[in-house]
Amino acid sequence: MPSVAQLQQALADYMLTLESAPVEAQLVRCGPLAPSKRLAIYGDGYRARLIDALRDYFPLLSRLLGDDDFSQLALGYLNRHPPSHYSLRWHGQQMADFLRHTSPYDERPELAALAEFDWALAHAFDAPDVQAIGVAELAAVPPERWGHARLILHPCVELLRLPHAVLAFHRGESVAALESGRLAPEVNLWTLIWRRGRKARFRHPSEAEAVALNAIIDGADIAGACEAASSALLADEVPAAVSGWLRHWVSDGLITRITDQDGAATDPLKTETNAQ
Amino acid sequence: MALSRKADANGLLDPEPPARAASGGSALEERRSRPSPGDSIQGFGLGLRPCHYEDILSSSPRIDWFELLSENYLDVGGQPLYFLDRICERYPVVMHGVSMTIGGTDPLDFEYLQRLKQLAERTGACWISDHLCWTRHGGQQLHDLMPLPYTEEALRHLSKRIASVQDYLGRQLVLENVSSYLEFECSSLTEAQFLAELSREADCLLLLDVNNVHVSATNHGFEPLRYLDELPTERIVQIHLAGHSDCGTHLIDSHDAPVVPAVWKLYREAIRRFGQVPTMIERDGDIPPLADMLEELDQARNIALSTASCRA
Repeated sequence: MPSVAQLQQALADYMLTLESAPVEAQLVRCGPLAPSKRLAIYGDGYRARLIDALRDYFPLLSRLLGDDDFSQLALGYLNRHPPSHYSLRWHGQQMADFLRHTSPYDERPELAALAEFDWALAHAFDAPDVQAIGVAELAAVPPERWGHARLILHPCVELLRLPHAVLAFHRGESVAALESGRLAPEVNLWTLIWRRGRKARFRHPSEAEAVALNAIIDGADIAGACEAASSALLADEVPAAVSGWLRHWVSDGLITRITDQDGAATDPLKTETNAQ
Repeated sequence: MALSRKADANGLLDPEPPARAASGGSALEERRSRPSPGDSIQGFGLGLRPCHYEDILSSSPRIDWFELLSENYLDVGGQPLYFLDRICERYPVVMHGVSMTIGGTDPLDFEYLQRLKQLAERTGACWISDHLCWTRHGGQQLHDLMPLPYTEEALRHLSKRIASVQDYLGRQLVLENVSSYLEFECSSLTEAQFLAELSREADCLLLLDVNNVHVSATNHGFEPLRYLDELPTERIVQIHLAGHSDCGTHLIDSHDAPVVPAVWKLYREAIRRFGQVPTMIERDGDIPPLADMLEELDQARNIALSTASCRA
């Protein structure tokens, strides 16, 4: 008699390969449904469920490709990235990467861009809640410590560089591109995606703000962010610009903590927070 | 609960749900000495679905409790948790999950269990339920409620795992019978016999999904009333009702349609046997407005109250 583990191995193998012979012999034959048909209820359901979950999390990508092409993409993705997380929520995590590195999708960079945008919007919507700091905390940092201060961003924050057409497609424009099934990559726009209240939002920061924010995301301190911004601004414009962005980021709830070089919170930043 | 199988709870007056469990060892006695999680669930509930969030908060409908789908709230914040917190302030809730893989042979996922425990603390959930099934093997998530062989080995295997989970969660686990589409030749017990043995040996509780009994009975050709007769009355603390899809040769537990007459009839038989167990309706596809769900829930209420008064 096969053990519980052996039966599960056989059934799991079937689910992934749809090769029914090894497990069929272990099944009861009863009624009008042959064992292969009974197995197919599980095998087909697995694929349909995962495709549907991907469609839910990639609405723009799915709209551009249409049902059939999206299903084909989702099956290809499922074969390469079978789910290992207990929640369907995370199954699509590698989609943009998959599109970027898999033929024929790699010939259409707009697909990966759409997937990145879809994923970032979904993430902004339901990323974990963390309290954001307020203006008082920002003002409380001693001036002499600002250079080495590091900003910890809210987990919902994403900064992407997206083709203009992707953003137009999100607004419901580019119908011709939708009909042809192709969006031409054009000029890229920095796009900052985050959550305010319960809604996902996005805006387009300037090149200078984006490179400064990108440096912060990569772990740079404020001095590093200023240096990054100086690539797009005159040196005497940088301090005022960074100061303005900081206030903007705080009012948008993007910053959850200010730390020093060692990662410890700078004083006195442990009070008076504004909830997201 | 069905994992939408292209195609997931709530309740009636159970005068003594947790106290009805048979007495067990010292661990159980310790659990019972705490405030019992199941005490506040009575009457009729609904599966909590995002499309009803706003209506629930604006109209405070006459629903005794809600069942939340655990995985929808484990790794997230934002809107899902915002609404969940507010609904939990107004209604008792129970948690219903699909990923414990209690029948699996992969090691138990204690990170998942930790998150489940944290969610139960946050929501004050009265019960934590999952399914008599396995969902993962070799690290691979199958995202389906896979069937088990009903053997002595499986009984011992599940008993040990349930004991570990109950010790970790500090409460009794509630297990639901699933809809199934295949059976194993090596099974030596019926599903109902297995559930009865398991619930006694592991000292866990049972969630009876009446629709799943109907679906599996049709698909495997067993007698649903006999199934009910084999279940241990004292272990059943919650009932699920749902709709399914009729594919001609078999039924699929799709939760995308109203409860059918045959399932209402079987529900009446369940109430006749098990008393006024807290009951809820699950709907996961083609979800109607909240008002329509309340009407369907009234059907459950009428059946349960009229059957219980006859029984009394």
